[in-house]
Amino acid sequence: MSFPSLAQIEEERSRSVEGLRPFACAVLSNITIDLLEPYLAYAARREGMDLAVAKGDFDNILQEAMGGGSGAVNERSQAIIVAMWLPAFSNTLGFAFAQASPAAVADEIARVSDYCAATILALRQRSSAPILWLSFERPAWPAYGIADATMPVSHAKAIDDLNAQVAERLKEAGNAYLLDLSACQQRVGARNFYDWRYWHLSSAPLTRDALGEIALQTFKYLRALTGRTKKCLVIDCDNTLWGGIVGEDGLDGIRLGDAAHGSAYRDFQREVLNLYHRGVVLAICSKNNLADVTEVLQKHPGMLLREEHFAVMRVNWEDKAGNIRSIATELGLGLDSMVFVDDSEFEANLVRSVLPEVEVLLVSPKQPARNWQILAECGLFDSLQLSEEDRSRGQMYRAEAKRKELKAGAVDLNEYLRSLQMRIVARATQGEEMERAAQLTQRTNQFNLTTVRMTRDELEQRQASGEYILRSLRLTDRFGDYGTIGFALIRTGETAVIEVFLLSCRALGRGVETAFLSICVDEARAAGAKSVIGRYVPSKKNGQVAEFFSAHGFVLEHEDSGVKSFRFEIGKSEIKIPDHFSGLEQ
Amino acid sequence: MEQRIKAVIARIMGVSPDSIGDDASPANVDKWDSLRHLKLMLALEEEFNVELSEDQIVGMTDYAQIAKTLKDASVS
Repeated sequence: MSFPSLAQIEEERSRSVEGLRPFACAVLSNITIDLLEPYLAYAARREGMDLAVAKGDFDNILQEAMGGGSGAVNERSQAIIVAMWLPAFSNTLGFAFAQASPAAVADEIARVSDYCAATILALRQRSSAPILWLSFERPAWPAYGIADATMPVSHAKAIDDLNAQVAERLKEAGNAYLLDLSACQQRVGARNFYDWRYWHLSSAPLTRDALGEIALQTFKYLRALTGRTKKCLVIDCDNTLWGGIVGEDGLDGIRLGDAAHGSAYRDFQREVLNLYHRGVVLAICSKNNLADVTEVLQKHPGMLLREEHFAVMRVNWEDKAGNIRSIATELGLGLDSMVFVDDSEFEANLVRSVLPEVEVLLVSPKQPARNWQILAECGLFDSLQLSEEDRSRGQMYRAEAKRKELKAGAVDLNEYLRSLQMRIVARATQGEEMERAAQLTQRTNQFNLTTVRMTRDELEQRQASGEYILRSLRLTDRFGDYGTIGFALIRTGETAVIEVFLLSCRALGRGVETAFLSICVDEARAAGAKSVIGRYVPSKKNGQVAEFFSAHGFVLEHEDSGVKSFRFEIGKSEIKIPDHFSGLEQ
Repeated sequence: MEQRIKAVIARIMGVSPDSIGDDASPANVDKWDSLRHLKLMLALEEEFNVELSEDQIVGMTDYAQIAKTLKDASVS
């Protein structure tokens, strides 16, 4: 996306919009970075968030982190952005590098690093909110000029070292991320990144372009942190995946492959394939004859994408909005996790108006060489970390499509479930599974009883406390491995409390949820519980699980503004595991 | 041009365009503080696609000076 002018942004923000979700963000800086706020707020608004920025006192980062000054960082903060601009903090490391001896540089790096470490520590003591730290950008004009790389202590390397130290401190703090300011500077270009006039007049060294870019980058984090990462890319075929129209030009006539006029489309496919390997589910939505598209997928030598990469295909002459809706239903995904890419403005606008929840990317049939970059820089699919799970998600969805074929042929649901030969394994969450568990809490919206978002560090703290049971659920069947599709966090005690209980939607409709709940109650009992509390916290999306506990013998104890608390008396009732599972491991 | 300048001032200050008169200045527009003034300078440069000198920026302290400077810079 690109930003309108500042005046237009302010005009748009003056209009009130219904239904925006409030999000409180603190910004600490040693420069005048206040103009980041309109760009951030504009980006947030487009995604249904009402961003409120509390800014710390100017050039008071550490004091603010420690709770002094304006009180910008407080218990309401949902994210903390630290924009510590190095040239303003350290003249030596910023502008006057050539004047300092190696020893002086080392001292200065230590001073800055200590200040950052103290700030990060203080922030973490006051708040568990995610910290976004803008990295120190590499010098666009190193103080030693072209000789910089040959110097024993080079300007660029000094900055790299400092960033590495800050990254380490952030990692220790947990739920803290280093936003790559050098990459922002590269994309904008250093000549357009700084405005030295305003640096001298108002301590505001960054241009509108720089601030816009930083806002976009920041928002990629906020999107991932608030569970809005997109999950599925729905792709048009003609003039998007390849040049030309296969129905008219034929298999040999479309442009795709090594030759100059076809390699731009191959680059686009390469980028789609990258997304596939990052766990984005792919679907085709094209107005064509299915046989024509299938032939290209199977036979065209220039295709990087093949049938196996697509979980769903809708190749027909019906309207694309309807097709996208049916793709979402088939995959069990919400429309707001779908992105649609097409070269036709007509189709793009149709989908935008009929399905406003779907994000639409318009690619250019006239300049296809730029299309891959539209995908690469959109950031819509970005998540904070990637797990092995993500890398094989495409195969899992493909297996799911095959299961559906089998289901269509089976007469009786029970018989069908039995024929799947499902095995479930519920093990204590540990090691790399922690990453996946954290990700599940951040991404799961529908089958999620409490919608508590947690980071890996928070989960590890719970585990280390010894007061919690963490269980990850894996599911396999004859078509393949679903991977880890469920997670539960239970506080132990005489009265155990299920704080998190969630399942990925691709595992639903198989009785897995009942088996998992039964296992969790059993684990709680083994840890000494006489009864188990289950809570339902309503969200926009988890209506389907409102009655989950009551359907499994939990009794409603009380209800407060929609939040329901249920109790299960161990020994008085029982949760029966469906008998269609071929294996259970605990 | 006068109307465009006033419209930008009004949007940045978050007030109605009618309330920006020829005598508008930080003294009589409530929200016109130093931060919004900086925002205004950037917004004007953006609106009129011009890059002003430091001296010009420093001199643009109220509506009258802004209008005069932008006219002298012969922006359209």
